[in-house]
Amino acid sequence: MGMWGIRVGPVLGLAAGLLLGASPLAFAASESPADGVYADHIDWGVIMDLSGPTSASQAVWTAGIKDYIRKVDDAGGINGRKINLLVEDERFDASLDRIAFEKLTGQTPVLGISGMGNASAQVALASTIRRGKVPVLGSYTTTKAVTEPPTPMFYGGFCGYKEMAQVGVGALTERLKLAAPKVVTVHLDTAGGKEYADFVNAAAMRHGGSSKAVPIKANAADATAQVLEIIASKPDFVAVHGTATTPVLLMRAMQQYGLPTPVFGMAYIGTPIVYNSLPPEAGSRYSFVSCFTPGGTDDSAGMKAMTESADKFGHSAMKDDINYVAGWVIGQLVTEAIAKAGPDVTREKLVAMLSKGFSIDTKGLSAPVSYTPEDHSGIALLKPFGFDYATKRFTGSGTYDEARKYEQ
Amino acid sequence: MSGEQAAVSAAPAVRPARGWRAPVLLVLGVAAACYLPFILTERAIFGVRLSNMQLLNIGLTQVNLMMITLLGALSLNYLTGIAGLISIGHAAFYAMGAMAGAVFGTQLGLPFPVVLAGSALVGAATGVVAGLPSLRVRGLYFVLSTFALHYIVVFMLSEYQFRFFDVVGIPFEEATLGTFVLDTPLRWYFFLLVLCVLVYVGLRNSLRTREGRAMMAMRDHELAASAAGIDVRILRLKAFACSSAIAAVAGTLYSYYMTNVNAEFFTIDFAIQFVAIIIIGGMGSLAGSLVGAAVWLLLPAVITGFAAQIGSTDSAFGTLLTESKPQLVNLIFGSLVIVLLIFAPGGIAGIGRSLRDRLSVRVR
Repeated sequence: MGMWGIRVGPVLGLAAGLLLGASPLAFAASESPADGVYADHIDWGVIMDLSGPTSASQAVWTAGIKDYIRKVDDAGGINGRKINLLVEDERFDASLDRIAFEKLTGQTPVLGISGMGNASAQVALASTIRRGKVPVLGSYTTTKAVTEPPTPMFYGGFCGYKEMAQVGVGALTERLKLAAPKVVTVHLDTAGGKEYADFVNAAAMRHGGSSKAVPIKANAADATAQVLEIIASKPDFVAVHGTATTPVLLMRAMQQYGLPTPVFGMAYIGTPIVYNSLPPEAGSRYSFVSCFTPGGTDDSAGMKAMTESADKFGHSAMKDDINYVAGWVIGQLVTEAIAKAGPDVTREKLVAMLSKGFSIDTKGLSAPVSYTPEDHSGIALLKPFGFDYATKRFTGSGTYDEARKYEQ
Repeated sequence: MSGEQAAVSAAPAVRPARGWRAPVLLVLGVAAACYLPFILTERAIFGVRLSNMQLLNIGLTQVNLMMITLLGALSLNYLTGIAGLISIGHAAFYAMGAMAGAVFGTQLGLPFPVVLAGSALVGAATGVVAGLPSLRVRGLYFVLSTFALHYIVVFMLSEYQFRFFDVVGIPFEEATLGTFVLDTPLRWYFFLLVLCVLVYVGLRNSLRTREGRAMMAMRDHELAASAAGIDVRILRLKAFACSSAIAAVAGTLYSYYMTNVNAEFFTIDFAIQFVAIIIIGGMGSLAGSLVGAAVWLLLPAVITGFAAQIGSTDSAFGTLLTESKPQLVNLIFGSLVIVLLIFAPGGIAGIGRSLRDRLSVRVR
């Protein structure tokens, strides 16, 4: 018996055994450059929620980036090196985000990191990202903590909350020919939900209108209480923030009460599963704003290439999901950034290249993806989308550039 | 009878001399604990570079967060395993620690040690309030009261956050102890190591006191304990105060380590992890809390590492792992926990005890 009642010997023996037991795996040991760049491959990190509450959308995003990288690897990689994605599951737990970030910084070093779809975790990591060595390129969510002021270590990769609110409110105000829109925002009772409700309120006020925030639980099984508040408020339209379940519950409850009020959702919840879960009469009143073009919307060159690869890699069912498109676009962003940084790419060279300004042409899959030294948000333009139940395809309204007028 | 109780009650009046083994093992243990963070940081041992899998896919941040969780597990084991008061509101004490840390540290700018002391006091006061229902209700009803406490405190933290800070969370400055800034995982490691040892030793020693024995008596037979002159009402509140003070300090440490916390961090899942840890480690065993925390927080990383290793091969299983690694890791981890609970209902500490008993019988 050791001091304090702990049997020290067995503990040490166990530790030594574990260490030695792992020795057969030494085949994995090889030269490990601090930047994740090897002679034949480059390690790139992805941190996303793959088995937690937001995995329904983030796992689809991850499939998108994986498929693009696989396509590039199958074509020979970049400058003779294949891209090896190291995907970390953060289960929407901020402490796991920190563990994953530290791991990808030094434990299994990568050239850069994409994803990071947990806003709270991103804020918690903001100071580490800002003073860190690993650039984050193509995030799934973008917070002010890492973009204001911009840092050379962070580059966003998804539509911003503020822009989503502005375009959604602006487009519906114009479509319904409203002088002063009256809006109800149904949002998750989370930090992100409250922030989105504030943005919708600001956008409504800009048009001389007003808005009311109505919270809903992430695990809600019914939206009757929210619909009763909507009935009492008599809004011109409803904005919704949440997971894929939120608009489904809301639209179903609204249909039950015979409420014909139009509803618009944010990009994350513009997915086929929402429309497929709703009857056409309810789903036709639901639209969403997005900076990514859902699969099947048009026949652009980017869309054709994405569809072909999705079919080839067994992800045909995902290609209509804007989360898949977003992942695919970030795959393109990552590979083109690595290629542009040169054959002797390092983290330093990549950051130097990105900080000067960088853009990619997604060939119709999204609004322009462009970074300047002053703005690292990446994708600024959005447009409204709906779903045609007759053709089972998404429909876009106008061009991304036309929707610029709604943004401030 | 729990491990600690067994150890305490079975302890002979005069212990036999241990000879040279105990001090040598202690020195080796301390040396290993001191060298471990350097191995995990440098990814090398005595200059020999180790692969990620040779280090079991574990990094220093994981170990640090495990130690912070260990404090929570120790405090819950003290409350539940030693005093017999079941609680699922431990995330509330963490949240209270975060809130106290925000008030004393972020808002008032008090020194870090003062913030920790303040958090302990706030935590103790919260614990007393949380323990009040235990004077009237028992069993599942009391568990429900701790469940309610969780939502009340998280709501308070949420309102506090939105009132005084941004929606994205409450920021925390870097913790400093005089001129010693806890700005690297390595520095945090040594600070947390010392703190964990102090809390462990303190709790263990408290079990040898009159009150410690009274708590175990209260857990084992409340009526008999009362008949023996123990004021179980006061004892319950003391247990709650002590446990929640430690948990609140852990919550403050968690906040400082994360540098920003949000009310959303303290979910009911967060609370239940402590219950799982003490069940896996061994209810009533403080040492079991350490093992439980290690299993709960480090084992998934180890399994993930092996899964990634196998997934990089061209086998069918490798492809399956590549496609569904997170789900399979969760499945394997969950299965291991179930197997453990079936074959070792007393937790890992129970396995240790039975092994020790068998060995001692053979020696005789």
